This record gives sequence, structure tokens and C-alpha cells, in this order.
Amino acid sequence: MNKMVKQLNVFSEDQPGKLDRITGVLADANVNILAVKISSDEEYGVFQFLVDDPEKGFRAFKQAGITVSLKDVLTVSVENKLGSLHHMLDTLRKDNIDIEDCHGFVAGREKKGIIVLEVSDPAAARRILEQHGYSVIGSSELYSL
Amino acid sequence: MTFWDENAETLPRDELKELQVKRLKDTVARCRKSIFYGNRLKDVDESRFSKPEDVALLPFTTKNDLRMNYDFGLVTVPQDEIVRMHSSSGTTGKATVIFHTRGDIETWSDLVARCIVMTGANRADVFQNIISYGMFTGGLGLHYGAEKVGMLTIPSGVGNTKRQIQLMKDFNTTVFHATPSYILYVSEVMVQEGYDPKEFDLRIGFVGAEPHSEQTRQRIEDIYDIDAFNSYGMSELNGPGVAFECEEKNGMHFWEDQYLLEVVNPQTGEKLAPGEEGELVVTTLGREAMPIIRYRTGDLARIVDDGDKCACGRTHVRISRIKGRCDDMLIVRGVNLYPSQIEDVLMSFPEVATNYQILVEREGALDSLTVKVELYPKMFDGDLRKLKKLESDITKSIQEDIVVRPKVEFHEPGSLPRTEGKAVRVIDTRGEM
Repeated sequence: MNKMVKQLNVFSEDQPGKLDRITGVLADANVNILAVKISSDEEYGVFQFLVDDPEKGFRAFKQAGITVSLKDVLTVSVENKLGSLHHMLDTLRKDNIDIEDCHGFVAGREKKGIIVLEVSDPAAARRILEQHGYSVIGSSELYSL
Repeated sequence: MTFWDENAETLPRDELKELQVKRLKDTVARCRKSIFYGNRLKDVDESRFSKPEDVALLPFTTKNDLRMNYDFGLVTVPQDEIVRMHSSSGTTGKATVIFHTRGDIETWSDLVARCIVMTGANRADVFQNIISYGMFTGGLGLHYGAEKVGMLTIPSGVGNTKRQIQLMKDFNTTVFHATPSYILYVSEVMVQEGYDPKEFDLRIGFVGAEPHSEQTRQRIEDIYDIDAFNSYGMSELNGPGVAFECEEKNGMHFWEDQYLLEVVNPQTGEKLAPGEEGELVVTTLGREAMPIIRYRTGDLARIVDDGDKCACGRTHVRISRIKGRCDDMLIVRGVNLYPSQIEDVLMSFPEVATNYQILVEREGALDSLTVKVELYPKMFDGDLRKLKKLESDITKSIQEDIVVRPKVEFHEPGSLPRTEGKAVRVIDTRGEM
């Protein structure tokens, strides 16, 4: 079964060595990072990790006493060419899907663009994207890139 | 309705007052035998006392008096009659020592037994005393009372949290005694260890030694699914067992047959009108080794009733929660505030964990107030914007309550310093300039 992709969101105080400690936990647990996004202000921030084994990463963080949550995200494969992100976001906007968070990376030998989306209504967003010919990829597909 | 000492606990108010006057006279007479009071009371004629309020004719005793008369200055009996020494926890300033005769220990244990039975606990309960033993009165005070009631008493002391949990599990603990900060910490460790705090047999908690808010009590009750009862006492007045909540949970019954209570203006020492908040001043009425007259407790509270009979049937007056201490009032940008006000606000946010710290600093000419809070991991959903909104909500709520706008900082769970005894919640660096 091709399950919904999950992202690890980690809370961290903004101090020297914090990111290092967090990535260290994933490395020690043998969890591979596919993409990372850091949002922070002066005092604290949230690190978002797309990894190859989110459940394992989640347990490792919990064990290390790190505040973490597992969040469902949509991962959409787009062509790696000018304007493709824009067109996709435009499609969602026209159907009133709220985008809460978005980041992207390039993966695989084919250098596909992978867009990671947190949206207000994942099921609706998925249906709309697929109707418009986008390929929403599931966990097994993502991790085998 | 069960009582430990029904006659004493339900004594009609006029008889109670009569008893107070008699015991006050005896106490003054006894005090004269000590070096400290012998001198101080030489112009007092207690034979003319006719009502409890006449206590106001006597001088106050302060913590400093106890310090200056360290070690035996207030003692009224030969040393061979003394069986126990305790020392104040020294939350603020230098320690003081308190002595007890065998009779004092009996009286004190009886008062604690009253408190225990008043909450609905009884000899069939298993009691885990999760509090410091040693010279601190919280441990031995409850221990003796619990044994007197006949509970299976586990003197587990404080610390070694995993073992505490194991004891609760193995011996089906039904009643505990702990500080609010430590028992909340225990619940966090339970969750980390894969337990649900509700799955234990706990049914009653005695929570004391630190002033805490109603919100904190409710949190403890919700987390463990128990009834939690507030306890008041201090080593100078024996320790726990001075006042305690009954099942009504509407103020703490102050044992007036053993303690004479006044509420005064902390600045002027003048008596306040009934129901006004002020400093508790207490005279011991039955203590042998070391009676104390009009002790300035430094604790701020008010009387919530004036002898109206409580639904539980007890006639002894009830006091509110301790709002704070005269000496932990903070003045920030000219505004008087108590840490408990900030705690109240914090505990109303489920996203906030149980540990927090208040930091007061001086930046240039201006005071700054920083409130450091730990996030409650279960409530974190990974959204930075929600954290920002929470931060501003907490800031606003605190500002509404105390006028001063604080800076709210989020910290990782477990990162703020945590003590297993009394938590140091306030750091004020302004005095060090």
C-alpha cells in the first residue's frame, strides 16, 4: 500500500550546536534525510525533515527527548523546468486550497522536482492535483527515488 | 463524614474562642521561661486577656528573632525533655531550628491525622510520602500523621523518579504527598516510560510545601484522575498540619485550637478587616518546647469565611491559598506582582508544560520580565506559526493580568532547571548591579 508521506517536524531552541545534535540523532538511527527545511526566529525554530523512515526517525527523536511531531504531507513530482511550481500552486489556489507550508528538492537520476506541501485539506488537494495530471507520489515511490 | 477528633474539629465557635484565650494565657506564661521571651514579656499581664483578639497586645516574633536566638533562645524546657529538632527549609535566608518535646510530636501528629482523615483518606490506604525527609518537616510530619491514622506508609522521600513510579505500581499506592512541581514531573516521566498516569491506583494527593495555584491543582487532578488537597504549614509552626483542605476544597481549615490566627497589613502590622488579604500571623497555643507568639509568617492569604460552618461540619476558620510571600513579591516597572499570578496564566494553556522560570533583569534604566516556559511535547504539531500565535496569546494574557508586558520564551521540555525539592522559579538579577 502506497501510504501518505510523513514529515518530521522538530522544535528546537536557536542555539549553537542544536541542528548538529538533531541531525546526529537521525544519523545514529540510520535514517536518511531526503530534504530539510529550517524556519526560525531569534529564539527558536522548527526543523522539517523528509526522511526515508519517518516512524523510525520519530521514535529516535522521542527517545532522545526531542520535541517532535509527525505530519502528513503531499509530495508532488513535477517536471524540472521553468514555471512548473507556479502552475501547480496556481491550480491549487483556483480551487481554494490553503497552502500552509511548502518546500522542494530535486531527486533521483531523472532529476525530478519534488514539491512537499502541507495543505488545509490533503484529500481534496490530492484529487485536484491528480485531475490536473500531476503525480502525487506515495511513500514507497518517494523512498525508492 | 468522618473525623479524626470530632469533638475538637467541630467545637462550637464560642467554646473554641474560650479555649484559645485559656491556651493563650498558658502559652504566654510558658514563654516566660525562655531567655528570649522572658525579657520581652516582662510588662505583659496576660491574666487580663478576655478574648482571642487580645493577642494583639503582645509583640510580634520574626524570623530574624529566631535566627538571633539560635540555638536554644526560645526553648522553655530542659534539654532532656526535647526529643526532636527540625530546621526550616531555608527557602529564603539562613536556617532556623525548632525543637519538640514528646508531647509536641504527639500533638503535631494528631493534627496531621486530622488533615489526612479530613480528605477522605483512611487506614486502608497505601500512602507514599514523596517528599524530603531529614530536617525538613514535610517528610516526618506527614509520616507520623499517616502512621497514626494507620495507613501503610512508604517513606520514599524525593528523587529517583523511576523508583517512585515502580513503588506506586508494586504497592498499589492510593495516596501521595508531594510538592506540585515534583509530582507534575513524575507524571512526565510516567509518560516517557510508557505509562498513563491515570492507570495507577492513586486516588488522593496531598500537595504542599510550595505555594501553587488553583490551575496547578486542577492540572494535577486531571493528569492523575485524583482529588488533590492543598496543605499549609511551616517548620516554625511544626510543619504540615497547620491548615488543610477538607473534601469541600474551599479553603484550608486552620486548626484554631492549636494556632491563633491573625491577618495583618504586612507593612504596618495592623489588623485587617475580615476577608482582606494580608500576612498571616500565628501564635502557637499548645506547643511545649518552643512556643512562639505572633509569628510573622511572611505568607500572604485571606480568611475565606468568618466562622461560617463549612459543609463538612468543621468549625475552624478557612484560609485561602497562599498567594505568595511578602518577600517574593516582585516590583517590576513599579508594578507589584507575584509569581503565582504568572503561574496561573501559564497553567491555563495546555500547550505549556509544567516547568517554567521567571527572569527579571535590568536593561539600562528599565526592568525587563522574561517568562521562560517549556513546551508540552504532546501539544507540539510542528507549526512555527502556531507557536508564534501561542507566544503572543500567552504574552497578552499575562499582560492583562499583571499589566507588565513580559517576553515569553519557549524552551525544549526538560531544558529549564528543575529541582526535586522546592523549585526556584524566580531569578531576579537586578540586585547584583
